[in-house]
Amino acid sequence: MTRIPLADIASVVGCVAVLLLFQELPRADRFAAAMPLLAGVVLVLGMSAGHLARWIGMPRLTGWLVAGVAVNPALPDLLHTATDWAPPLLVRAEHASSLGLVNALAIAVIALMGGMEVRVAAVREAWRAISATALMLFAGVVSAVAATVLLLEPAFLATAIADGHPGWVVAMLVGVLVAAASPTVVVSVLRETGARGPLSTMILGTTMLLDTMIITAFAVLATVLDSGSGSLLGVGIGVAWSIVLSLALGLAIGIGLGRYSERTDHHLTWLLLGLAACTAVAAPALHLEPLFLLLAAGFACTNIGRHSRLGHARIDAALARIGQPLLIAFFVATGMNLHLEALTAVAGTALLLTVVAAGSTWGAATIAGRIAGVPQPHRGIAWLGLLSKAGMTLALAQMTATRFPGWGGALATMIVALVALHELFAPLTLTWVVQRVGESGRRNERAPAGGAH
Amino acid sequence: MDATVEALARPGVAAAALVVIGGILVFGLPLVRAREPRRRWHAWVVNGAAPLAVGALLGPAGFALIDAQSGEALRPLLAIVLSAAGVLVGTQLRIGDLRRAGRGFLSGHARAAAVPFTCAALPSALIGLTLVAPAPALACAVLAGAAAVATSQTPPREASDPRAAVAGHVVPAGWWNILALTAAGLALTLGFIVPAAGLPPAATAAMALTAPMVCGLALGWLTGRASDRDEAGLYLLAVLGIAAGLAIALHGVPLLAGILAGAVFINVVAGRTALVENPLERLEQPTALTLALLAGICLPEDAIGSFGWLVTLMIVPARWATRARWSPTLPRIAGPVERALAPPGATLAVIAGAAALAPDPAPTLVVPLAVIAALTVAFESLTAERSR
Repeated sequence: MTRIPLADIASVVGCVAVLLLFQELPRADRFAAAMPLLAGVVLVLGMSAGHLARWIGMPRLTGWLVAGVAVNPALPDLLHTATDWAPPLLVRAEHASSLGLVNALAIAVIALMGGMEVRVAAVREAWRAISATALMLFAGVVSAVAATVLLLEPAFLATAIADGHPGWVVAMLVGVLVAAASPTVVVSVLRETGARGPLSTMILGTTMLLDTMIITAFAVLATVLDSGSGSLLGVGIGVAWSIVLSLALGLAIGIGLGRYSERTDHHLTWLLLGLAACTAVAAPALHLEPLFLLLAAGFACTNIGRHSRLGHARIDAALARIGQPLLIAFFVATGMNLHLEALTAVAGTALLLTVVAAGSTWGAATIAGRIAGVPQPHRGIAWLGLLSKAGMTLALAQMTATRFPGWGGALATMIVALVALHELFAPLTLTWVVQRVGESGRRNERAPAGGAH
Repeated sequence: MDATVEALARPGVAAAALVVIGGILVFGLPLVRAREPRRRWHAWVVNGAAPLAVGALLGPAGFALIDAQSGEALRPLLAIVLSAAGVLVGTQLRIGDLRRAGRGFLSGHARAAAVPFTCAALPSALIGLTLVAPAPALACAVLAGAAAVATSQTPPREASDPRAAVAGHVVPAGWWNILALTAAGLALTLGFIVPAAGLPPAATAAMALTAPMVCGLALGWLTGRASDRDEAGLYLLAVLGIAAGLAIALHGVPLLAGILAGAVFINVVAGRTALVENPLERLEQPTALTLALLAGICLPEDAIGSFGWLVTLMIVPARWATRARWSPTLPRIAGPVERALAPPGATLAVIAGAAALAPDPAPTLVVPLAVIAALTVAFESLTAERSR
């Protein structure tokens, strides 16, 4: 262990002092004051926490998450209940949620990075494993979770049945929500660890394919449960149209971006930031899927057209410039906005479903690995990289709560707790996996001649 | 996407319109040049008049295509950009450079700038004192004075000798602008201050002045530890946010916070300032344009008031009456009329941005300031046409 990083400790203390001072100021409740200050503190705090995590031999990502949890608005109450000791409140709940704009921007940029990570040649090689794993995960996790819910009969299921909904459909819906993965977390971890290789490609590809299946299944199940909102076929077509349109638009944007980067890198960082911001805000208003749109844009940028290595390197460098602050902001904000209170309220059910989801992920990934001929040790540990859950799961849970008031709200609380649990360990297990198979840090190695598309 | 994105999407078309406009500005930046004789609209963009007008028309004060809620959501961004503008000004206050410029140059131009400043600020203060409380009235009067001093750093005519243009216009106009923005920042910080809990106003004012200085020191310390330019850029962004947040929370405006942080940073940190100066230079044009656009959008509904028009009416006569003689521009670079009504340039956009973010009645100055910017740009186009 190297010498104690006193400067980083001082930075953390400084950040805490700024947060405490800020709350005493006359206009601290203003959004215009809280958001920029928190964004600034999150960056410095995250940077120092990342250094401290490295110092004790942990990934920087752990430091970012822990820093976020340490300033989580729910933490003082929880500690007070558990230990009778109440630390000062560092960030108010309404302030923590003010980072939504930064978070949205981060997710958009991460999606663009994710698309750029996918290379046709690598996906072609891993396609059998990706499709088999995604299908097995979908079938395995959804059925295992649904069966557990039917066996457990939690309160929200009883309410839903009392409301006239078929119990098995509600259980399947829970299964779909729990099976959803997070390409955002996967891309962030791969980017942070500099991972590249067959297993990284397989995990990222599986996550993306799985989410496409999840969105479709959710739309179908929600329509079955809420027959008054429109025909099943209509919703199915609507979802498919939204995804296809997002992908098509994303491909067009990506091709344009690729051509621009071939000619010049002038203001490229601004262009990427602008593109991410435009998509994050405008796409939902146009009923498009920003995640799919930007993934497709990144994919097209890397894989479509006759691009030299220069254009790709320019975009990569521009993304690297904006990537670090956004990754830090995303993970610290994730820790800061974790619903710790929900986690404690429904911890038992959430923990049980987490175990069931993890077990079925292990089973599904192992069987899919055998079918697709994935070699060891990849086959044995791939499931640990497929546990991430975040934005997609939360968005679907939120939609359930809005669409089915009452039991939908209770289900959403449980899902939020489950996501909170996964956010604590899934990035760490994925980091461990890519390090274990030696794919960590390979991103910076020189690509072989002709490797650029 | 998560719930936050859904929440952001709620304003719907308004947010989409805003992002598209922002996108056009950002993507269009490489196309806009300070002097482009064949494309007159460039001058309107560079001076901030066009984005300010577009923002005001789209925002709640205009046709409300972007509603008040969306405008409110953009105020933090305006605060950060204003803080960045302040740091850009502050980093020009390197003591070594000021010494090289010479005491005579600095004090001479400060005295000259004081003439249009006083001619605009004094009557504005008299008008303001009859209509609003003394402190906001004086703050708005200083803003009017600063607007009278503001001068575009682009020479009024194409110079045959670039070095003469720099010495005879660019550098003096830069010094006038620094004085104008510092005065505006001070006025807005001290004029609207509200005491923090349990503190007298003087202590709160002292806090409003020292907090940004500490931010400047922190930026220097953090930059010193940065491993590369990207990390230094991250710390710069963080400090801009913290300085802006603290300024707003103290009922101030982040312009002065940025100036103080920048000045302390540039003078205290030796050696590694280039790590921050280079990203800042790249920020200059985007900052002015974004600031002008956001200043227009963030204007509240009731920002079109008679107070602002009355105060800003003092600015044009002050410029006409005084600057033919005391202009920062040497006579051989511009004629007396051009010198009298030289465009205020991006500095006016910064003043307007600061006014938009300040409490009432300062936002009422924004639209009249935009009109002044537009008038002067139109005048400049006209004289350029005649001199051809």
